[in-house]
Amino acid sequence: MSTKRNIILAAAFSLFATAAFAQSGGVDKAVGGYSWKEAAMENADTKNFHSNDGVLTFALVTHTAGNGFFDPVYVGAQVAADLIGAKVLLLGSESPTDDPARAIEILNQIIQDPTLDGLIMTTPQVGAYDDIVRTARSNGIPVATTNSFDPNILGRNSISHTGQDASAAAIAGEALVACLDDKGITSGSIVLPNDTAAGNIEVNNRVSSAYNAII
Amino acid sequence: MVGAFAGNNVFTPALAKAVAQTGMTGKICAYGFDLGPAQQEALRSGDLTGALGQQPFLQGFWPVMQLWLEIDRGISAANLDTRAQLVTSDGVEAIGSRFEN
Repeated sequence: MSTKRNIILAAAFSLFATAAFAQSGGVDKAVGGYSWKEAAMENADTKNFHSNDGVLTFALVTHTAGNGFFDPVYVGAQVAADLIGAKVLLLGSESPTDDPARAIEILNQIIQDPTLDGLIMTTPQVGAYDDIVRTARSNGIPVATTNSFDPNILGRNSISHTGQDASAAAIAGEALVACLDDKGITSGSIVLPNDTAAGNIEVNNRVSSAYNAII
Repeated sequence: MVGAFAGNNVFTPALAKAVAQTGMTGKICAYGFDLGPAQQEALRSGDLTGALGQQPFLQGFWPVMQLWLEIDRGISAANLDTRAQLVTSDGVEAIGSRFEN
């Protein structure tokens, strides 16, 4: 692009920007009188939260770091940390299979770390994390859970959870019906195998959810 | 039998195997959970029609943002339902291409 063309384009854009009457619906500032930009700024104290060292340090601990399943979880945490200028310690059981006991060892160690400002953990072993929450709380460190869900964890209502709700199975149910339509199949049986001896609530809920979507 | 749904990542490879062994590949609408190597292979071969990922990227991304909001702005605990990513044979090659799965 030539410089002259750049200047003409820039002038055209600038004219457009100052012609405010051309674009309706803009909300210039809050009814409360403050500017969005100022309101959106990070609090000056935030980076000194808790450990008072000029950077927020979060730890993410999972129960299986050895088989790659949690790799995207770690990536997601890194992306978020980079966006907000925080440090994230990526920790987890070395095992390629579920190893909640090892994760709990790691958790018990990391909550003693004086630079820790926040803790994120998976909770595959229902009931095993209350002491960790208790210690984190008494140290003033906020906790969040992810992936596996412990409905009764200490302080559940003040601990956010991120994970797949069983109702997502309805998406598979809908897709299954669409697939049958595509194949022109209008009758037959659909099997939703479930081993109730395993007693897994999430799986049962998923099957119910898919079933409801199918019928 | 025209359709099957497996409720988790343990049943799903088993369902795919059953489809293959009974010669039902491509004839039955079979769906299951998670997007690991076994599921990806089954999507390519047609033993599985579709598989639901649980959006693990969000399971790392959101809690970090949530804790930051709690610290910086006093936002109270809020949950995120990561819902699902439905993948079929069309999309299987793109799985993980942005480290999202």
